[in-house]
Amino acid sequence: MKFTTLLVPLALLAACASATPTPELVTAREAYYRAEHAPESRLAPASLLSARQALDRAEAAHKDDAQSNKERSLAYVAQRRAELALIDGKTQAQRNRRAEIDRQYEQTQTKRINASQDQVRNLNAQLYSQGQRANQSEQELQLERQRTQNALASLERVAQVKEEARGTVVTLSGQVLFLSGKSELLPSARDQLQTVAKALIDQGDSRSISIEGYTDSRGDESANMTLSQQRADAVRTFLISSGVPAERMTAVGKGESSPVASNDTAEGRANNRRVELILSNQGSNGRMNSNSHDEH
Amino acid sequence: MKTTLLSVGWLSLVLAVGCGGSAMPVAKVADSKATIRAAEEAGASNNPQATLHLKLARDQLNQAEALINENENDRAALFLNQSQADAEVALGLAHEDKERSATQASLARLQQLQSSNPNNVNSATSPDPTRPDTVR
Repeated sequence: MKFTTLLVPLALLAACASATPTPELVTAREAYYRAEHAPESRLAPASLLSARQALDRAEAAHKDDAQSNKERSLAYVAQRRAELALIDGKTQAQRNRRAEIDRQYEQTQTKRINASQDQVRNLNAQLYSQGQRANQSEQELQLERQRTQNALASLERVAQVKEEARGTVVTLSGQVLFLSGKSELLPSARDQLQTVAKALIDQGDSRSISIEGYTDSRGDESANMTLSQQRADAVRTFLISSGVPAERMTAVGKGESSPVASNDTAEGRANNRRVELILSNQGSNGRMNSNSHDEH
Repeated sequence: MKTTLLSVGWLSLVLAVGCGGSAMPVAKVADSKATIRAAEEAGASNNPQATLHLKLARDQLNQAEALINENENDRAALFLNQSQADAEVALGLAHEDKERSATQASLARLQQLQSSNPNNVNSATSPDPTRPDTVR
């Protein structure tokens, strides 16, 4: 020992040489170095500390009695402790990873539950508004039916209304509308036609209207044909001016044809002088009428 | 006769221990045995590396017990330390395996949830809760 204090560098060299560690201690040192520098071992600090202490004991045994069985055995234990520190670190890393995965699972599930709750809420809202809308359209339908009935009722006050195979036929008496042999509307006829126009508009459908003029059988046949056409035209023109869309209406003169009563009596002839408005069953929304179309 | 002779023998052994060498490492033997059992129960035999350490632990325990019989208690204690260290490594490996497969299970569960997620969220049709269990 005295000798070593004299020559320090040599002494160190000598110390190293004299105290050659056992292979077990060398392995233990390497194992500890690996464990200490592995990123996982930070996750198992207690195990790493225990490995450090085991290595310290082995080093102490080496210093105390180099190459001894005790050094060998303690180094063996230290090596195992270092390995265990690494294993424990890996175990903890797995545990952390699992916690993160489980957290993600919970999050995804929560998100999904929230999403389906939102979905249910939206569906409920949709159902509710659909229900509201259904109620509304039911009410509208009822209103429209009412309007149609009102329109028909007002029509029946000024004219005859019949349901026939060709459609709803509104018959206006010629006597009320025109002077004999003339095609200008009488002032009193205007009020009636106004009612008819209003009824046609109020009814709210868009069925086409055929306006047909008829005369009795007295007089020249072709003159009657012309007159009936002019009268139908006059009615059509008036209805247009009252707001009934022109494209819905066509005017036709039918002359003496299709009498509804005998031309032999004054009363019969009066009935034959007439203008008929035929609301066709064919064409758009004939919903008021259940009659079939096939007779046309 | 035989038993008295044996007990006299034990007594002399105890006396010899009491007077001269170190005490029998009884606690270390118990510790080592307990750790070996714990490693076995944790499934160490399913892992080749853990199986090796388990074998080392048992061998060193046997050596220690033989040394104890020869009253070599100090040397026995060293073997018991080594046996204990190997048993702990086997136990640690078994725990790591368990943790790893639990992580795999968690991951599979998450992936399954994620893969079934878009269908359930984006379509208005009702989700299909009967599927997941059968796939697993």
